[in-house]
Amino acid sequence: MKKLNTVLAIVIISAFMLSACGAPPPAATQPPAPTSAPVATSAPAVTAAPAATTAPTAVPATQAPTSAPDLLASVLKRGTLVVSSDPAYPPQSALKANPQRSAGTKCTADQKTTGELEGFDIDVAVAIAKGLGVEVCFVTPDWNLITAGNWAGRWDISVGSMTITPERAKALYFAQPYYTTPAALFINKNNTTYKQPADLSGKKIGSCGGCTYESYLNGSLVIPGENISFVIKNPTIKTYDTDSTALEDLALGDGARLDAVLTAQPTGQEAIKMANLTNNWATLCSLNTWLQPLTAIHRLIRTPSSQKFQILLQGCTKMDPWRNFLPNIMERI
Amino acid sequence: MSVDPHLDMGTALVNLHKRQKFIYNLKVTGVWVALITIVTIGLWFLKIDPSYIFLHYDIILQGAGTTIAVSLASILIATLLALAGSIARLSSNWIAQGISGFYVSLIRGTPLLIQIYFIYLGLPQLGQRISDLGYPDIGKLFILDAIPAGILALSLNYGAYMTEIFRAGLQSISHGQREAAIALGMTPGQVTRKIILPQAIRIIIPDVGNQFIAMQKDSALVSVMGVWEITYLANHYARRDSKYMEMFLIAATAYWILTIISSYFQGILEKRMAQAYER
Repeated sequence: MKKLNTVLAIVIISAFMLSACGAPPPAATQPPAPTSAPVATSAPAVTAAPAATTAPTAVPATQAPTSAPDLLASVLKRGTLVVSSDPAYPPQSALKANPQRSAGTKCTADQKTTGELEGFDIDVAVAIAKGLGVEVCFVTPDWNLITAGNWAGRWDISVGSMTITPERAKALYFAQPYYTTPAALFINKNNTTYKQPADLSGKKIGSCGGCTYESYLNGSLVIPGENISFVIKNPTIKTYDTDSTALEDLALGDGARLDAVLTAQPTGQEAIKMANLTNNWATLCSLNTWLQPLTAIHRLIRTPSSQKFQILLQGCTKMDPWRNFLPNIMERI
Repeated sequence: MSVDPHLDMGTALVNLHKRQKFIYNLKVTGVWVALITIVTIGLWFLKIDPSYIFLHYDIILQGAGTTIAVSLASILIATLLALAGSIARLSSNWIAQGISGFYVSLIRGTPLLIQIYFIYLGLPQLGQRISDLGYPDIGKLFILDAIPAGILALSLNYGAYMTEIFRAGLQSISHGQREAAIALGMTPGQVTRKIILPQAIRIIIPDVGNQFIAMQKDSALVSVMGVWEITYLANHYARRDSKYMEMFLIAATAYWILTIISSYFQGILEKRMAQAYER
């Protein structure tokens, strides 16, 4: 998994919806004021969101963008839920081995269907759409374009195993975390000297660039309500476009380019599994999981407990497993 | 023995020349074969799974259509931009001169990838502002989908480089011709259309072909917006199955074949353009 990494998978609701949240919901059942208030206070500095300037003021009536504030209504009317996901992170999301466009789909030509993608994130998106009684369609922009937040209505939501951080919450509207993945350090099989995370101080460690793993390595990771201990001191950080490239480099040999890779445990394990399946990838077989994840990271992926974080999340949804919170998200929209 | 000894000598010379040319071409082909062999041997030593390539090459080829479509659309628009830009660049109108000069400088001075990000992420923000001002229909035009945004970025970018190519082509026609045409009573517009352009095109075409070949590969950058073209598919299947070398090998081959085909058509076009000058 990418830049997200440590791990909570989350449904993000676009900044566009943030604006929608600020607007008076046409649905009479929705009391607008109390629920939209926390969002406004917790995301005052939204810069990437087109709606940013209007949202924090909490004066819904003044902003009357004609751009359909009731997203739920337009999703239902359209009959499709457009979900963005970067399918570069098996097992969370990937292209299908034999992509076949679903028959009789309502998705537009430049959108992808469930017949073309697979993985955990894809299944979550399908479940969400099913709950709404609509068909799910996918767009697959680069990760940066998703985290940038300026979605401009190109897609409705994003499902992509993204870690919630305060920085991202400025541009994106996060739902309740619904699963966690341990972070793990991976070292080359041939190495015998590294026994615990602290042994990697000063070593060459690879990770995805601009992601939470890199933030952990350079000591800047902040997760509200969590006390993170940075046990690896002064590592030489080498960042990659994606975690799997870092793993490739580690597989070249112990210390050849990297001494270790910090990534999501499933990502590393998947790479090792793939390597074992194909003979000519002998070098990757030499990868060894280090199944003692950093305790700090391991802990922070549990459900955030701090009040601050709760408030941050409250904006969009109640705190339940995703099956339960989906209706809530949609209600908010 | 024919009656004319000069004719015999001429025929012998022509035959000699033909034979030499044949041998020369044979040698060049030999070098190609040798180089291809060396590259193949090099690939042999990489860890490549041929069966994987055999099973998956068709998936990559599905992206070829998108690559070709995006490149063709972009080169067409870029050509129009370049034509307008170069004429503006050579005009004596200060507004046209200023606009075209700024355009070329700005676009050539910034990376294509960043231009793509600005068009995809930045334009919608402008559109939002315009919508907020009460013009939602105009605002909506600024929110481009991935493929139109990619075509716009490629067109603008290549249009700037090609403006300079067109300018050079137009300037290569001697000034005397323009003066002569004006002396004959033609308007400046007629001079450009009927005298300068037809000659300049002959010089411009090979460079446009060259730009088109370059563009087919630069179109890979639109994959950041999630367009499923050759590079996107190669990259994502590589990550899916940890088959980097295999996937990139297929993609590289696909691009190479595309450019060989383009070069062929470029050759035909060049020959056609040069007809008037053949003896």
